[in-house]
Amino acid sequence: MSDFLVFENVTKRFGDLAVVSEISFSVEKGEIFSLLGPSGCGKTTLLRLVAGFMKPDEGRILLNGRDINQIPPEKRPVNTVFQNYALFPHLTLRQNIAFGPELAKKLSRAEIDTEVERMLDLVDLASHADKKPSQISGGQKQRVAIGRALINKPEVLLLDEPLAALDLKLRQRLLVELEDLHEEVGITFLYVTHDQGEAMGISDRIAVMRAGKIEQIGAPAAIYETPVNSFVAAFIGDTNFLSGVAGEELDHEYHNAVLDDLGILRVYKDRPILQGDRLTLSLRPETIALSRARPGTLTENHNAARGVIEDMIYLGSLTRFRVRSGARLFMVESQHGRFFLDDEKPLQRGDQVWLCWHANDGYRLENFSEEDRQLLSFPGGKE
Amino acid sequence: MIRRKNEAILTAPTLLWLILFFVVPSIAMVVISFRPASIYGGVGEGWTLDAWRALGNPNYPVILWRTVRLSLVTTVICLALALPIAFVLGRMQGKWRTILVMIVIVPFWTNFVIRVAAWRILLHPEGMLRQSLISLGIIGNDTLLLYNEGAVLMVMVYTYLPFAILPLYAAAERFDYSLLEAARDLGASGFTAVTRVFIPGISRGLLTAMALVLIPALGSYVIPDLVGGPGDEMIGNKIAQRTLGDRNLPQAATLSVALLLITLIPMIVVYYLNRRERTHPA
Repeated sequence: MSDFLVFENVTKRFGDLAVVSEISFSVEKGEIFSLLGPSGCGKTTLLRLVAGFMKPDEGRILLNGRDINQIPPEKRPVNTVFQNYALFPHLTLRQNIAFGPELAKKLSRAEIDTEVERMLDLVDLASHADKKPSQISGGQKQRVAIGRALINKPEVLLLDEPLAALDLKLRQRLLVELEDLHEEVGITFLYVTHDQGEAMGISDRIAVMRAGKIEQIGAPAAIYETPVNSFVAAFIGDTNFLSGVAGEELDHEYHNAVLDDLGILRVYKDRPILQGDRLTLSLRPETIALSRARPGTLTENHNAARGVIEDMIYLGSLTRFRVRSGARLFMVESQHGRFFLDDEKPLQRGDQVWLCWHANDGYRLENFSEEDRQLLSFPGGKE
Repeated sequence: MIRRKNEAILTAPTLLWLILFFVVPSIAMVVISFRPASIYGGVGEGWTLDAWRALGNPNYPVILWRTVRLSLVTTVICLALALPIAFVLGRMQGKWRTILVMIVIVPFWTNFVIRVAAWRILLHPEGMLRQSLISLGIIGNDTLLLYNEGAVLMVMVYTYLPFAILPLYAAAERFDYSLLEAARDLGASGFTAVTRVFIPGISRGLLTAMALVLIPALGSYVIPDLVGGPGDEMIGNKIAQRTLGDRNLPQAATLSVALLLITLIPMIVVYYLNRRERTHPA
């Protein structure tokens, strides 16, 4: 069952530039696998290699054990949902959806008609079937594109930023629809997106890409909570990078560390640490608690630091604070209490606060690169 | 109401122009076709069907048919050549696209009659081309490249090809080539993708190209005159002969009205096909 779609050392160059370099990974049958990364990272190229619009310069792609490199796109058992939908403007929605089965010539006219009706029902467009693509909305076009691909019963459905052109609410609604559809048809989805929220929401597994390489593959929670390096940590959500030098071991779980500008704090040791090692932690903004007074009930595994609120952005479901602690800035997100009923006055800009977090929430990165700070909402960790 | 008035004022000059230089002459032409010819080369008094009866001359149907046939064949060949060219041009980017479009346009900088006359030199029986072909044994000693229907057809294709390429290129430029990828993704071969998606996608350009080649081709007279033989006359030649040679204006008008009617047919077809597309937008 596993290793359904396999990439083996796949490299694709445009001129001298390797857009995809020596990528190896495999997608399991029936899962939703996302390729996530900033634009230009090679994710769409990977998808096009599977679709057959390009051939890899090196390596091969196996589908169900069969090398598909030499198969032209029209013979591959995969179908694509294009970013701009690529619906045929001169055909009605019904004719668009019937395009694949008509060419395949495997079914009789009556069977094709039945299949098309079924698909129109599945994507909820039966009442618009005789309209042209120019007469329907973006969300409807997107559903036609999915129906037109799915009717061919592909072994893998390739989705190239299928929701990118839609507004936020519609995107969220269609994401749920897409997930329901996946459950209904059980086809393997290879999903390309630059939107981490989309990828987190829909995927069984995500491959985070940068500059033609895969940085990390894992379930959404694993990627978010245990990013391997500062790129993944900063690209998926927001975070605070805390760098320092490892101090003495406290017990088999915790270590002391001298963090730059913060002093001696406690660090969770999920992997061996040697005293004197340089280390960087990723601390997610929502794991930090803010309070006016030093919390009284801190365990020894909690870290605390003093700071001043420099800025705050009210976002409704949460508030994002920028807190200065000595020379460094923290990004903190906190959900609201009852605005009018809280005993305490709400926090204001300029307030003195305590930042407090559990040592387990600071995840030690394998690699840290200073430039990845630029991916954060508040890049200036230090000024 | 004010908008209506403004619209009327804005269209008035164009309307006036069309009435003065198109509608009035056309009506005059129809009227003249029912007049007798005067012996001094003008138009006589009174009404007669003489000019129309003269169409019964067994020469005319043959010439009319030749005109229509050569024009249709020219149109088909021009479209067949222009389609792949437009396909490639529409897909190209940047510098090369500009250069190639220029190459299509550059011949217009030379006068049309001179270009046709140039073909006479190229294809001349004593010309380099024919002599080389004979010495290579590709054509026999008795084969002429000039003064036959083949020469007329070739020069017509040469002349009208840009009129097919430019509207098709304009349509191809607006065509979304990713639709071809979508078609292939759905199981179409490269050729099927072109016939089922590209050609319908540029159908309006195709209709324009068809009209732009067919209509002037029907009215050709310089080309058969310069590179054709005595048996390759088209209706345009006859109109010229009647006007300039015989000075029989009613006869020329009759032939012109006949040509106008033949030309109207493709125009009406294009108009209706275009309108149908507009009411069922693509």
